[in-house]
Amino acid sequence: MAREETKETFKQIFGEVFEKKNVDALDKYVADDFVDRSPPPGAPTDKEAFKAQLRTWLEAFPDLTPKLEAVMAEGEKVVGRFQFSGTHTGAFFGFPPTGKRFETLGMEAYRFEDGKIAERWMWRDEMAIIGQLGLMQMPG
Amino acid sequence: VINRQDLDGFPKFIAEEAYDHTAPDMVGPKGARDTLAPMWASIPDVHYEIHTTVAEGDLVTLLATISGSHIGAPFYGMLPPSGKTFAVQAMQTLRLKDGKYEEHWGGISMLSLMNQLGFFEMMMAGAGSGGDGEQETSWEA
Repeated sequence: MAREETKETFKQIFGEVFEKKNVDALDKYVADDFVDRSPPPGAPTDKEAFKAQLRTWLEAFPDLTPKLEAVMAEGEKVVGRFQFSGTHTGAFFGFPPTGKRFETLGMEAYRFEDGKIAERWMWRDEMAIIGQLGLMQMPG
Repeated sequence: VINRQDLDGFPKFIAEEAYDHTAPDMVGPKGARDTLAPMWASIPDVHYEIHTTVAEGDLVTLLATISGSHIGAPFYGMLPPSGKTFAVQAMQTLRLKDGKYEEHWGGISMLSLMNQLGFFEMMMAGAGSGGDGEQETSWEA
């Protein structure tokens, strides 16, 4: 795929899966031999684990709202940067709901192969989330 | 600069007023030095390995792994060195001008790093309240 096509595909996935919270829509975008390069510690790296991870976030923050800020691409590799916010009304990694809201920066990166996501990397400002929800007093 | 732990090398690659969207207090080469010097003192063998880059215009994103072992100073001045090793993901976007970066977004998976070094075990043991401290905590989502 050329750069602009890669970016358009990313925006389509972001809109359908992240904005509309339709995790199952990933099925048509993710390759069968997909590998998640940033899984939670000890978690599997396959397509189902990717979907399970997104559902975990939605259970903790049912009103999760991502706003895409920028998309950059090179060939079939793409990076999206977004602000996202949510209210902590479900269990988050064992922490009971606090009812508090967070807003911070997140990033998703994909490498496409034959039009499907073959690899994925992610980053979230987890320290900001922990701090804003008051889950733990962080040093520094 | 990172792999040689060259604390004097930042001005070569970081613009004077470089803005960090993840850590707004960390401005320019001095900010990077003040932030990273204590971390490198804890992890003197810190190693940054780039797997993939994505470049467009004046932007470049690095997909990398940062690894090392906690054999130096206490981490954050609190956690005594344990000899534990870690490897965590990093995703960082830089906006470059004249060979230096002026803006930075992203970072490393800090919670995963702290988890692997045993930071949370210490915090929860210190809290001593039972309850919340008992779950198997998975820090990265």
